[in-house]
Amino acid sequence: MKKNRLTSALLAIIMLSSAFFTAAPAASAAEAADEAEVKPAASVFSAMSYLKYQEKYAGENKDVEEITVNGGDYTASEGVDAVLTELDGKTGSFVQQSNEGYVEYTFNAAKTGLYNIIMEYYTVEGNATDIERKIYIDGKLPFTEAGNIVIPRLWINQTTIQQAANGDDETPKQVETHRFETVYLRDDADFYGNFEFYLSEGTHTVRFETVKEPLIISKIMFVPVEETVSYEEYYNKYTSEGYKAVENVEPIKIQAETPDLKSSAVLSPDYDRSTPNIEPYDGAKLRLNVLGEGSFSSVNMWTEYLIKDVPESGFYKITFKVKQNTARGINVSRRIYINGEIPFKEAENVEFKYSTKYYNQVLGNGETPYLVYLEKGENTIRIESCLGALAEVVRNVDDILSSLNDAYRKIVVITGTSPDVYRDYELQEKLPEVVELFGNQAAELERIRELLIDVAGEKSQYTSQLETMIRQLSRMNQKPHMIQDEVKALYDNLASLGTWVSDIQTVDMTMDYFIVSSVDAEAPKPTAGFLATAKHEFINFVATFYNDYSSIGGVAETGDVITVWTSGGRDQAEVLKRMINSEFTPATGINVNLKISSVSIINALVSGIAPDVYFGCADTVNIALRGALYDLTQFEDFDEVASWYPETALVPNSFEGATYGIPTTGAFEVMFYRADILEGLGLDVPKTWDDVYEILPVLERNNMTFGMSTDVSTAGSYAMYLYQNGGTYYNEDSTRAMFDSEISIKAMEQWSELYSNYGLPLSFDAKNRFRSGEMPLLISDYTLFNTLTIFAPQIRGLWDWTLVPGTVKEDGTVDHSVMLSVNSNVIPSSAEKNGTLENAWTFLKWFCDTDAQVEFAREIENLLGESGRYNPVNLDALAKMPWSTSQYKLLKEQLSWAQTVPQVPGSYYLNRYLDNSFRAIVNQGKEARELLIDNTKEINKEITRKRKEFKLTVYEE
Amino acid sequence: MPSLALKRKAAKNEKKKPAAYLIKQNKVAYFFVAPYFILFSIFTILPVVISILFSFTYFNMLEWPTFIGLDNYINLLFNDDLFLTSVKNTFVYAVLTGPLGYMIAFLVAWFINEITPKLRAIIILLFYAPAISGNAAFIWGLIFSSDSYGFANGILMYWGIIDEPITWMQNTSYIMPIIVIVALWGSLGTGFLSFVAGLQGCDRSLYEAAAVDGIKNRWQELWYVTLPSMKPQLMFGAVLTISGSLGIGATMAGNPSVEYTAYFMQMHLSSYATERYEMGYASAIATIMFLIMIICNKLFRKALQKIGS
Repeated sequence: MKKNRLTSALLAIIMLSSAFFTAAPAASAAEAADEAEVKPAASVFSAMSYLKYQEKYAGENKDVEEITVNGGDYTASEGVDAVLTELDGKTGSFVQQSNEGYVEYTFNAAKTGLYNIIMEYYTVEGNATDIERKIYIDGKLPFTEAGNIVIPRLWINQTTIQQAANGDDETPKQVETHRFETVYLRDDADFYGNFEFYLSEGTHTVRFETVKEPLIISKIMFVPVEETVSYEEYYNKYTSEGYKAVENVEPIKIQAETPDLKSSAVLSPDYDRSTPNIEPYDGAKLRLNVLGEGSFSSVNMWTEYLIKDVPESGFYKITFKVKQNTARGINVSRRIYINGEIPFKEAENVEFKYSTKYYNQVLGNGETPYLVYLEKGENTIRIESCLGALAEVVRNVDDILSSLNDAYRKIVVITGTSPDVYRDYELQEKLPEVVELFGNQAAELERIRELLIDVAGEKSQYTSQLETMIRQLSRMNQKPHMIQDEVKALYDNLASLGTWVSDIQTVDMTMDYFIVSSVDAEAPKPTAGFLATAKHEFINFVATFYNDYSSIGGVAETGDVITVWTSGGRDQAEVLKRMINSEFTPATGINVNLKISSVSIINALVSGIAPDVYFGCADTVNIALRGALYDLTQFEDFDEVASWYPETALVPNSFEGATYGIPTTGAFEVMFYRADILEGLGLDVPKTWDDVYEILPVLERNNMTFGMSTDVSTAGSYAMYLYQNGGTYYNEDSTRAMFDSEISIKAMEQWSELYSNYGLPLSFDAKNRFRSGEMPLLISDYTLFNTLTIFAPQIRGLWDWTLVPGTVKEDGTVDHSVMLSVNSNVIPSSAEKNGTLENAWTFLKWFCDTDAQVEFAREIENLLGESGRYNPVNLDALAKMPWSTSQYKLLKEQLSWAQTVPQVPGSYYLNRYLDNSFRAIVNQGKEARELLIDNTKEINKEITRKRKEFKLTVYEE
Repeated sequence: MPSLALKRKAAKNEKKKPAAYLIKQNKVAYFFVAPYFILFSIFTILPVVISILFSFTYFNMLEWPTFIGLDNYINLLFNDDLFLTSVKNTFVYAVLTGPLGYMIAFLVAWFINEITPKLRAIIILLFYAPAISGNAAFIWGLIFSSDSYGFANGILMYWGIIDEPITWMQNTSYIMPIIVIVALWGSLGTGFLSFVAGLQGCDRSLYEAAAVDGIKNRWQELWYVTLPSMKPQLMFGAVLTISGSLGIGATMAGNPSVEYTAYFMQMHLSSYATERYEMGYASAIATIMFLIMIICNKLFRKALQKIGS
């Protein structure tokens, strides 16, 4: 009886959930949301897409009158810091928003029609990331994309390019500059360009809700949508005013790597050493000579150059010296602005073809140059990345991808991810619309493929990936009974189509310089001849004998000198070196020789070349016990440094009252979830493990799954269970492992049960499965957030993160403990002999301090973009990372639950025996209790052996 | 003109001459051999000798080694279960891959020898390719990926043989067989090349002579003519195989691998050297491995002498 009821309940859930999927969800849901009153806090995916919005208001009037609203004249607000009347020499009414809240304006539209919105703003210092706002018109999001309006900060190189002591160029620091700037509210993905908002005649409200970062709003302008004139009209306009193409003027050459203003700090100068024909050039030393090399790769990024001395007003030719070697088979596009405006239609999409060598491209249609009008004196040229002709392609494929993803999920609900080939699922009868969709989308993709071949003039990796998809779709369309055999291939193809979409949006191009000249001036040859190249290669080779490429920025020999080794990457080391030169050495007088090294600290000590500070030490305690590391608690101000961290963060680097290392970065797990899918299944985000157990069967029935890593050394799944149940790894004096305790055994049973009974996958590719929706719940290291932002733009706004599921305690509270793993930065004991101990400590303290950590994090993110976000464990520094307010709150709460695992002599034995136990339970169905008791004995034997070796007290029964 | 007796006397005297004199007499030869000999002494003989000396000490790298007699060896042979596990695994692996891989390499070389030279060159390249591109083994990682999207899992699930993906490299039943298969796949290495060269160096006239002497079939030809005339190559291949299969270190299963299923002597050694920093103990393991290899070499040499008899 009971079983029957359960089954019927389950059936009901399944039917409900599949009903959701089979109904065409996006369109109807969006329509419904559009009619209903939507609260500002409503979820993003209930609004309609901009595409639909555009269709709906396609024929509307464009002849409207401009409306201007001053920043200070808001009618409702929350989280406003100040209203200013004067700013940077300008008077008016400005509102300063903090990093939370909103401002709302009421205004009157004289005419019904479509408007562009321009915002005049002034940036305020914040966490240095892009500023993001949600725009509500009359209390609701007009379309989904309005939930993600990005307003760029303005950046400059702090100094001109300087040279380090060893003659290499140093990347100048990227700093923000503040000034009034205007921006059209536009699509961040550049699918649609400037948004057109529909307003009916009468009173409206517009609300700017803060997603992240503060901002001063100076003016909001609703302006008519205007078409840019064609080149011909542009040319005729100025010729009719009497201007001519200039003659006999000295060409002006502008180096691309040093713009006067830019939209992102990522656009810092780069070096290209592949050719001698580059400016500036040096055979042996590093010269920063180009812009790009992977950094100018997202859309809507721009650099602006000031052309100071234009000799006379008239028409000029512009020649770019570029190399576009990243996207074979497509052209990369740029928009050109002259003095703040796109001069003519053709400048909206200047295409650069693929080439592995530098080439000169004249602004023009290939035959005749498009001359631009410049005034005598100062002019600006802005170069902005865009999708150009690809916008439509990407948008369409993106649409196709999401419709196919839906279709995939519908199929999988019926067949499972690994269907039985001998069964007839009657997909043709059950999902006729999917079969039809496959046919339509195949045709649509075919059209796009031809378009791409047309544009590039050749087949490429981009078209061949489409071909694979097209072939599969037509196959499935023609033989619907075979669809079940193709499920796996469909998944793979969808994943690669997803990658395709993000790849094709990478619009990187490297530019050496551009030249503004008279129409008949010849640009210099862009490539080097054979002899010049041979000489270049030879000098390069010879230089490897006397240039020390592993030491960063030269070696100091006089005065107080300490040596620092870091095992991180070159980018990180360069940032660190710059910070040392600009801050540490001037303030303390201590010179630092920084080296990238992967030599283990033991080897360095044995050979007598140990550094004074070593970043990224592994196995700290086991090395320290041999007297290799200095005990940092000996320093007077150690307690002050320790107070910067959560108490537990110092535990893995401490042993018997001594602390040998200071952490800088820390990782812990949170739970990622797909809000759209859970909503579709009618499930709440689980808060406790009991919730998870309830959800698992539902997920399973829909052929979805819950993701949790089984790796005991890097991920903390077992630690999570253990800590949540109040267990520990070791006994109090760390003389024995405690895995044979009741709590540990129970934790192991619970944990392994998830895999053996609930069928969680033991091994999986988290990113792809989360993106495809197969794994709507995923426990992972929080840094996955950055990867997902970059890697899975399709599901932007559809996912979020929260605390890991917790265990309900006896008193009813929920314990959300997770494992925290930290790195370790140490001072080798040899520093004491060398007399550099105090200086080493001063340096370590300086770097671990909040200010330095925050600056380091910013510079790294400036250099590498969002995917390179730093994960400090210094609490104040974490608070200043560019997370949004709500994201930071979550991180802070999860971190407050985090606990580290102590290190003891012999602790390397732990993970392997834990893993052994887990595998034996899951693979061979062995008993957890017996295994853990036996394995704990082995671990304790090793711990005792090691403790004896170090003459420490040993555990006795 | 010196008489025969005098010559004989001179030869007799030569035997008694000190080494220094001999070196002086043959200085050109020594001069040519010197660069290699010096490097070999410094980087091979010296470390081996030092390692043997260290094996009688406790040495943690940071402090001066202390002499502890045979303690390391006693612990290793009588107290260290893991070492015995690793010896067992190493031997299972070596017995399966060593002789088998050796034979496969020889047979393939023998077959290839029959093909026309142009085609032979291409086929040799094909067979030798895995050895050149050391990283080619990573495709086995894709094939035996534990994910349901790994090739082996994917195909088995597609055929309906299994329902759930098998975690190949974390399941004790599969680890060893897979490692052995991968090793056999890669066994056509340098030894194989030397076999090909040896087969081509066989004197054709010997075959004619053998035919006259009454050889009946190809097998007899192989046993009595081909193999004896390529003994040096066979020995070379054997040395490589022995040191290769006994010295196996990291595998796809990782270190130390689940339940020590693929835990080999080399791993035990490096675990003590780099994880526990017990160099003395690690040296003892190295010494024992060294001895085992020498014994295997001797045995093989004996076996080779039986060829053709």
